[in-house]
Amino acid sequence: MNESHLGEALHAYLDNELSAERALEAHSHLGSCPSCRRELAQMRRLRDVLHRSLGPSEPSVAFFRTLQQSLRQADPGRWRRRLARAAWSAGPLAAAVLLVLFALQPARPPSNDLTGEVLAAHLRSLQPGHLTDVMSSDRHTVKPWFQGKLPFSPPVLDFSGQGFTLEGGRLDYVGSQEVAALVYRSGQHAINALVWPAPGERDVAPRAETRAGFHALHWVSDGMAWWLVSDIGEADLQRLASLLRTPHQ
Amino acid sequence: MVQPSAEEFERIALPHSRAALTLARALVRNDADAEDVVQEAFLRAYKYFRGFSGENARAWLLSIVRNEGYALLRKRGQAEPVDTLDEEREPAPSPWSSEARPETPESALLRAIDGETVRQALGTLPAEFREVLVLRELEQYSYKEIAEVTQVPIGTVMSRLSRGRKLLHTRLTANADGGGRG
Repeated sequence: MNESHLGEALHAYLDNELSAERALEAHSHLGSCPSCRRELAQMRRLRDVLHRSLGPSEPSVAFFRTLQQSLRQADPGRWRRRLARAAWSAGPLAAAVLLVLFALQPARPPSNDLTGEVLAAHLRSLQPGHLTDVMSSDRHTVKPWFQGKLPFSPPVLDFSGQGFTLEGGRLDYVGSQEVAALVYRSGQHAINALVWPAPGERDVAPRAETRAGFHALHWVSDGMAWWLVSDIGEADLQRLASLLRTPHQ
Repeated sequence: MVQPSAEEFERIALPHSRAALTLARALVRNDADAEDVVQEAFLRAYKYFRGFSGENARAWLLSIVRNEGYALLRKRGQAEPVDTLDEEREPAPSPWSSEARPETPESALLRAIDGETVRQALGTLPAEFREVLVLRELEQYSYKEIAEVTQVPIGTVMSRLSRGRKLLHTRLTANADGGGRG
């Protein structure tokens, strides 16, 4: 490597893609070759320019909505349901035929679906810039923000003292249900608390579910359905749940 | 493996939508088309998900996005003929190989350059250079992973990165010199 210039290896050096041995060789070549040194400096400057002027492409909310819609249309499970709806409008006979055809195929349990939806909402929110629409640890800022945007008023509480800092809130969807998302942070972890009205539903004690390294906790109390979802430990989620379930004021 | 539900697929695919969009944007050079490309690609990926047996879902998804991007370029008649990218070709002489070239104007030019000029200059590079550059610089992919996405050997990734960067550097400094070509 001493005779000729580094050439392409200079880029692999810049990208930390050389083996330790070859990186050492490149390093010593750079020590004695002003031309390669200059080229390396130029490539570093070029990299700075690229980083400065080309941000990664953040997908818009509309992008996610469209994507979800088209994926769901392609979901064979949903197709079955859509078909059944279409058949119903086509006439009772067609509906009956389809009913017989599909009766033996069990639909996905709705509770599973809901966990998936909640998890998808959580993952969407982790995309940079999507976590909060209103960012504040002041519940007196967050609570009024929801007013006028939702037909219900979610309970907004901060538990900074207990290790769960309120970061803000946003509007989200779980299926077609418009929900309030309260965002808490515990250390490095974001926790989504999704809440929506469940009028007439009986209270359900918190029930935990784990999927793909994420924990979800669901309960119903005082006519509100709650979901907590995060990658923090289940015990911590339970702790936040009991804080949220403690009567306030 | 049964067809996963749309939700299960979303859980796997959505975290990669930013990288997918970055790649698509670099290829088709138009925001609206880029979103369409990713939508199409993810839908295709979902339909063929049963057939996916590899371990790196990200590289797999992005290779589908890439194919979809190239399909659009071909439709527009903008795909780069492969022979212009022949790895055997003599690289263009680099302006900085002459030791006499002074250092300061180049770095001053790069410092002063604006984002739009950079985007335009990047857009003038062949698609094969654009894709490796954004995957490396904006998404910090390793050479190995870029090789998986673009389905070429790691050596070719290194070569394309090296040639792409030099070309971009030349165009940026020449652009600023000549007062805004392109």
